[in-house]
Amino acid sequence: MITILIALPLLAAGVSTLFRDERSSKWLALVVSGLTTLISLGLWLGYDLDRGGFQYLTQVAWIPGVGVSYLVGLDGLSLPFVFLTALLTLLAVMTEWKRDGKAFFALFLLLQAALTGAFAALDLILFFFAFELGLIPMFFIIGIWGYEERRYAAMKFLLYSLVGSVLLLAAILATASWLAAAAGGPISFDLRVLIERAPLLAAAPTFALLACLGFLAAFLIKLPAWPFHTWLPHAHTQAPTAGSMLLAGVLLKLGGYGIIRFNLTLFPDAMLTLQPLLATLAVVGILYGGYVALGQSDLKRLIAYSSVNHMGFVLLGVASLTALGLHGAVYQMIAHGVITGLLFMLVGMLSKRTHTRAIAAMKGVYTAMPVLGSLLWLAMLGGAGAPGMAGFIGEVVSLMGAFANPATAVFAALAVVGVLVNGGLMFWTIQRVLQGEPGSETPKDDLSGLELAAAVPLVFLAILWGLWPPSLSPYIDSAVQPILAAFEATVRVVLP
Amino acid sequence: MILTLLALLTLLVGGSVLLLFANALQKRPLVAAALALGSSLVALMFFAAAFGQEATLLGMIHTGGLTSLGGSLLSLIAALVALGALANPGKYRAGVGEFYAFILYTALGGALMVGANNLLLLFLGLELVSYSTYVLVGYYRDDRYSTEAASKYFTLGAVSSAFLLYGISLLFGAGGSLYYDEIAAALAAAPAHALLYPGLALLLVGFGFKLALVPFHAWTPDAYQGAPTMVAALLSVGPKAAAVIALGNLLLTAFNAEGVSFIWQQTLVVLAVLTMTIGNLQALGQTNIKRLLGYSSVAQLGFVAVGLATGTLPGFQAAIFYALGYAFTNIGAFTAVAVLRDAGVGDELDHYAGLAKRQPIVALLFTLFLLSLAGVPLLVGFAGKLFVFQSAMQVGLIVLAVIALLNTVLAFFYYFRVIVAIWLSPAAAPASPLAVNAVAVTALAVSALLVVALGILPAPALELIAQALEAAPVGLMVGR
Repeated sequence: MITILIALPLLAAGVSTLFRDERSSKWLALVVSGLTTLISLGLWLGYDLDRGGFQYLTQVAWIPGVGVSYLVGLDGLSLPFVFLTALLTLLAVMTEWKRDGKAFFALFLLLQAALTGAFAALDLILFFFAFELGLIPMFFIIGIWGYEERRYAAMKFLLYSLVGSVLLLAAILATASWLAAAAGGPISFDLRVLIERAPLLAAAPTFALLACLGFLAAFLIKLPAWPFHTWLPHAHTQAPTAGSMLLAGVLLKLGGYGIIRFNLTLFPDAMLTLQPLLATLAVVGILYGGYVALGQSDLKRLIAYSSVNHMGFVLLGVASLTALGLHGAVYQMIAHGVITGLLFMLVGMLSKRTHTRAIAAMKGVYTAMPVLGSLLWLAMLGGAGAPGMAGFIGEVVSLMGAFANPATAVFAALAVVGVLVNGGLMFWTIQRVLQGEPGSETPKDDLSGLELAAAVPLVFLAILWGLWPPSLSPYIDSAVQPILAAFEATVRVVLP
Repeated sequence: MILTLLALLTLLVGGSVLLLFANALQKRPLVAAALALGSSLVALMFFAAAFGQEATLLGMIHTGGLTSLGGSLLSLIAALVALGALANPGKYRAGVGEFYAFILYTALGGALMVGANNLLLLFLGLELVSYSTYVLVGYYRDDRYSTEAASKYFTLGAVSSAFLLYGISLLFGAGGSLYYDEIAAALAAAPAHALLYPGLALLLVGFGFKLALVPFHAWTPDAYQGAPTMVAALLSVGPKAAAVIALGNLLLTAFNAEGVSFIWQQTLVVLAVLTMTIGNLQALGQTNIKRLLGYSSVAQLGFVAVGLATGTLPGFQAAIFYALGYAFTNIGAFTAVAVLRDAGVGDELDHYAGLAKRQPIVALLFTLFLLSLAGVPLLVGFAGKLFVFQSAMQVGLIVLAVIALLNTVLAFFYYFRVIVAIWLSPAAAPASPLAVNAVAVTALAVSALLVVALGILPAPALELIAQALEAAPVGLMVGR
């Protein structure tokens, strides 16, 4: 089933280049992303919580000579992201329905396939394949259909990500080779085999630390954590609306996902050593991201910087190395995917009408366009982490986890200030953009039915996961608890 | 044994017929091209059929395994180049028969190099390749740049051959034989002779020139820029692929004695680092597409050298796979440049601006080749890099692998400069659509198919290479 989720968009992307007219490639993208959304939802609902672990496993020898296999499987950590990938692709296609250019939709399908592959891959080389392959469609999406400085933004995005990826590949190869030699077995990139062999790394702490840093380099750039975030504001600001949605909604999540999936399981000792560093980066990201966002005059750029702030909570939750913090980090990632995806969608719809992204040029949007205004209001409250929305739970649980571990309690205390800054930012933005009397230039054409239909699922999910965590938490728990249990067993510490 | 002989004969006869009847073919370029294409495909079939039939002919040349593999590759390269030339047969009017004949001779020489078990035969094959390409590079006799390229290439090539021959003579003194296996036996039996290291050094210098490893690469960009584009395609892959397999075979078979192998491995490590880094750095600033591809091919060979430098069978296997993938990709890239040139697009990067709008099919295929050269997953370039890096990691050359990986970032930068020009830059002049003919698109599509197929499913090819290495005497000499 997972293979269908990856192969279907990939095939559709290939087929759609053969079409002569643009309408059919649009429809194809809509149908395929709709179908994959349903399939991934089905997989999620069909996941056996009591059994836990990786399910729907498929393994095919791919390049046996070098120990690479096509190995995919899903657990509670990856299921929400696979679902979110398909859903956001569907909504992105709906949002951009008016756009011409058949390659545009083909690239989104390619991106969907790559991202799904990355979340489902349990073979490190397969993961890297998908991780790297995702860059190419995003490069073209930003570079061809972006705003005025698109070429610079696309190139910066590509090169930043690339530096991370090559260090990741080096670390993957070095770790697998080292572990194979130490275990005296054949080389394998199967995550389960590697985790089994990982305790051997205790004999070479320096090597483990370097390899861990190689993994981290890619994931911290992707997340992005301060100070590796500088590509994000450009990429987000210049990307077309649908590109921003997927970038914020799913692509960034690969960073946090990678740290939890690979760093925590393969390098527990090194992660414990790096805990203060990661917590520091997290807090600086939270404070700095929020603070810089205050100074932005471009609405998309503002949201991009607030993403840096949000992702700081993810990193802080992970760095706390507690079950609570880890849970909060995953929750925060999913919540951010939904809420920021929604924010970028609505801001894109707004700026398409106002023909500007400048905050100063917008006023009284709520009065002028009540539907768009109220949805944007809701999304911004979500971005501020208001109770009742999914973001609230993510942030609070991350912070609770960080407070629970004495080693990170100080960082948590500082991060609370960041909550305030970000909350203030969102409310101030609401005041500037939504409230007040509309100017003479403010457009009055409210959302079309299609646009509303694209926004509603995200609003629904943001509120559902804000009010009723049992619909999400058990899945996260089933994946996070074993990771942490194995972690504690390896480093022989009992974390609070 | 018969099959390998038949394959070699096919190339020889095909080339000679083209030369003998050059006058008659002068008015019929299509017939000449078809003849070349046909002979190379027949040779390819013979080589492929000979796979697994191990034998040694007069002690001079091995058949089966590696020879069959390398011969097939070179025949395929010749076929692809002939196909690319067929897209615009009128362009090679200066001597139709000669043009295609020397393409076949290049493949023949390459096959001899790959299968050689004797240093003199190796040298003979190498000279056949070199002389054929000297002629081809200077094919446009009236063109200043083509002549300049040929004279530079010839002068440096001749000097490097002299180095190589001198090295071989010293090695004969050190090992007492010209046969690979006898040299290996002599080295294993007695401590290293004083002449061994100077001989080995000169041999590496000679091969360094042929492979265009830094610091012996200065001729490359000029030769590529001046030569007819399809000749540049041949030059950048045919002799390189042959030299890579031949060098790996020679070093691993004859010079694998303890203490000796360490020396050439260390030398290759240094050469690989220099080649990758300096090749990439020099490519960064290029504005001419052929020069850019020239420096890029220098850098690409650096990655191959990483595989050879490991001194292991998996490393050699990875190097061969890399060379194979690089061959198809680079032929594709140069064919695209040639096709675009015929359609009226200049060789400067600026001329490529807005190409995606003017000729989307060629733009897409060219982008595919560039992405493969850069090393994007699902394309053969990535698979080759993956195997090379892994083989380096396995013998503990972690720093080398990391340097190589960082080099791929540099490389991305200039490959994407071309991609940005093609897709993201607006066309300078009014963007009129460009016409290309069906043969050109076919030639590109064949390469593209190989690039994608080998990228998605590299396992069968890798397995074939492993089998070839197991069967060849290489396998016997390497302590595994």
